[in-house]
Amino acid sequence: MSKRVWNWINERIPLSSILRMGMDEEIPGGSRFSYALGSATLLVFLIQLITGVLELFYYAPTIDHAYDSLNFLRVDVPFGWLIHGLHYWGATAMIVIVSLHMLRVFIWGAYKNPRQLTWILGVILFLLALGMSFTGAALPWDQRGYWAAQVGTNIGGTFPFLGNFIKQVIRGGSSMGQLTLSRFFILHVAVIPGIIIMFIILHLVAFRKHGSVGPWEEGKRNINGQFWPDQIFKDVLIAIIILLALVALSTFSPPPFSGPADPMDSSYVPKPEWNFLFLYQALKFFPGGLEVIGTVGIPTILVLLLLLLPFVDKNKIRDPFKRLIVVPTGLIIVAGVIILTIAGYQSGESTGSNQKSSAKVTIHKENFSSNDIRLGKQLFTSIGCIGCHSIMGTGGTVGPDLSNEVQKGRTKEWLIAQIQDSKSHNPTSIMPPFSFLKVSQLNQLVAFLLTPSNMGSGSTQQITAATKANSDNNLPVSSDTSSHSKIDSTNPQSAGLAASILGSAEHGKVLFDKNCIACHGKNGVGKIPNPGSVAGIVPVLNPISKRLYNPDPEIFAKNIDMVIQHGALPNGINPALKMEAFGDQQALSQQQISDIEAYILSLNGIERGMIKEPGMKPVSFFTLIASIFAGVGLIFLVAWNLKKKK
Amino acid sequence: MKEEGGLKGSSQFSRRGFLKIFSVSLAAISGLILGIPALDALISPALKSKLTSFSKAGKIASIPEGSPARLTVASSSKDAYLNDTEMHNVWAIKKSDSDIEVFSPICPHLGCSYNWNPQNNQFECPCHGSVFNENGKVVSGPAPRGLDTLPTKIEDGELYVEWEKYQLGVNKKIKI
Repeated sequence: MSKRVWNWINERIPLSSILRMGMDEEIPGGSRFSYALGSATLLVFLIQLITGVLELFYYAPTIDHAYDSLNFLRVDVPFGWLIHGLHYWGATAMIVIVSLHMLRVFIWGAYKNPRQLTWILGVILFLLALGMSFTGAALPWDQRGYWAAQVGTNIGGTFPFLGNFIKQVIRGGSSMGQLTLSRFFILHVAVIPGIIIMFIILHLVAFRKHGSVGPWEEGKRNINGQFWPDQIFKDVLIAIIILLALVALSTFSPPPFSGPADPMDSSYVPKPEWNFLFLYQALKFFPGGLEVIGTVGIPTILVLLLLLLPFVDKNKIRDPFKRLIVVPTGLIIVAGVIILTIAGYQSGESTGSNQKSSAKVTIHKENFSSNDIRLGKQLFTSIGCIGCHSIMGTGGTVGPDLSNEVQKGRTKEWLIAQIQDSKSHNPTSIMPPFSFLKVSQLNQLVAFLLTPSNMGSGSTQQITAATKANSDNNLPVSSDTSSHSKIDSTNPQSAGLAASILGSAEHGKVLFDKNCIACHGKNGVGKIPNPGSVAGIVPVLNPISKRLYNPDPEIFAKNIDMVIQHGALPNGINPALKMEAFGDQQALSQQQISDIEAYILSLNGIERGMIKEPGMKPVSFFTLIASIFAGVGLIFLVAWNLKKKK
Repeated sequence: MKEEGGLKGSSQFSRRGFLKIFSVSLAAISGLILGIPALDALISPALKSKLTSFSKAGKIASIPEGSPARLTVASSSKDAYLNDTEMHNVWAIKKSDSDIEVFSPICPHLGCSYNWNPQNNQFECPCHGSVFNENGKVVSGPAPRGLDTLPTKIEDGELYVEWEKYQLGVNKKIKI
């Protein structure tokens, strides 16, 4: 029956000839594991294709939903973690395996006549894979992807004469936005994969036409192996190792949540995908007008070298130990790329246009206006200076008393530098940098500090005493300290947008250290005094009040979101510090608030991106498939040995 | 491993046959390992029933006893990754601190918003003249059933209401 069906099909389409063309192949010198790299590349491409299509079922290519929709897949869809993890790590595996495949072909001299075109098609496929890596990284529209695309398109902009044209065409406009995402999306899911499939077919046809090149030693070439099943068996074993490795990476090293793209956030240091890091690092050697050498020159030369390799190295010698110019040159270039990649990975600074966040301060020589002094005094309290510094008897004792700044000979410039970055004067200073202050606010603050009549209120002595008592008693920070504060009643009692955004705890820490550390202390454990409040100290965030804590990350985030958005006024006669309404006052963007929330959750042992619907727990899934493969392997091993004995 | 292919007819055949079986079955197992999660990811979210949740309607103490009070409920609905918050007015009748009935503001006849008329002590729908008493029972007019009560719960002195919608124009309360 099956034979009849098979014949019926073959009378209509030549299926069995196609199969024979793909499978029946003599391999000079027999099958080898090192030949499996080509099939492994194809396998990873298939994994990318399948997981990519699955991601499309959930992904929305719009700048306001891309990040949320991807996280919905990762957190709320069964096995979404696996689908995204495989796609994410598959992208990395693709570049690694393709590179190894190319390196093997290079060492074996397999690009030589008559296989030049196979090599060139392969180089084009490699470039297309890099294109997939570049466009794909932007699609989550998170900080990582957004900034990588920003820098990448800027690099296109350095192209001589056509730079700006190229940049705008790639971006779909003069700045990054929805049209950029649309372009990257269509390129990533339709245009480039389509071209890749076409070139894979051509690459395979060209490969089959001339077959495997085999070992370079003539003596080893007389034994033949069969592609099916000898080589395919080895390919399958390698494929399983790759599959297991990808699942292991998805399980134990899931892609990070880098927070939604925030074009306004200058505190994020952009870095490209790892496979472009060598270029990023190379750019640092070409400052200013020479930059174009790094951005356009080096990549063009590398691509030309790859494409022209079969025509440069034309002689018939394939033994790598006898190709004394080409092989060492190639290996030196490869080593250079690897070294630059590692250096790029370890470096922290950005290239070219340095975006230092410290604002340039213009110094006004005129006298301080009384209004500035008044506003400065308010700032001194509201941004938390008073938590650590006393002035005229009021305030904390962590930092030095600031009552006599004029007598100490402090100038306006010195104070502004100190406030923006205290480490500029004393590298061991623990004072957090208040780099978020505007120029006008800095001027107001300095006006207050340099005016001798900056008297505190009448009840100063009393408050200081209370502060002292509290810090002396070393009060245990009970979790209900913050229950004394009530949420500012003038604001709506609802959580903001940030609560539903999956922020980045890592970046949240950076923002926390900038904006929150002054009052809440390092890692949120500080017991910064808050004179005039009932609790006597600023609420501790680590561990956080039981009232706000919740094991469900979404509810937990919502609870603290209310406070961060709308602020809170501690109970007490006249609390020196109060929680600012960071959201309502737009002191922080919703993205930034979501990052800070993720960080505060992480301080309390809750992962913001906790998987709600895993389908199967990642670790159990990995254990299961690892044991299935181990079990099957064992069965076959036993069967193999039994057969041998017969 | 490399050169055992040899030229011995039958043993070579069986070795190759063995490799064929091994390769095919490993490939099939790998396919299943990826295929089952893929199907699960596509199918099970589609079969999940939508979760509804309670939203805060206000402090029990601030709801007046006796006559119906109009409360605002922010019902947040979640459609996959889209979060939407809708504000709804509901009618609450507090008999005691533990006994509060909440009516959906939608007239069960054709979906108009009705109002409380304190003079006549009754709910009146302006569209087609349906009238309900303060317990939600139909007094007169075309309404096929009484006012729809919404699920409520009381926690820490706060009233929570679950926003739901019901089929209109039928005499039974059927959730949609």
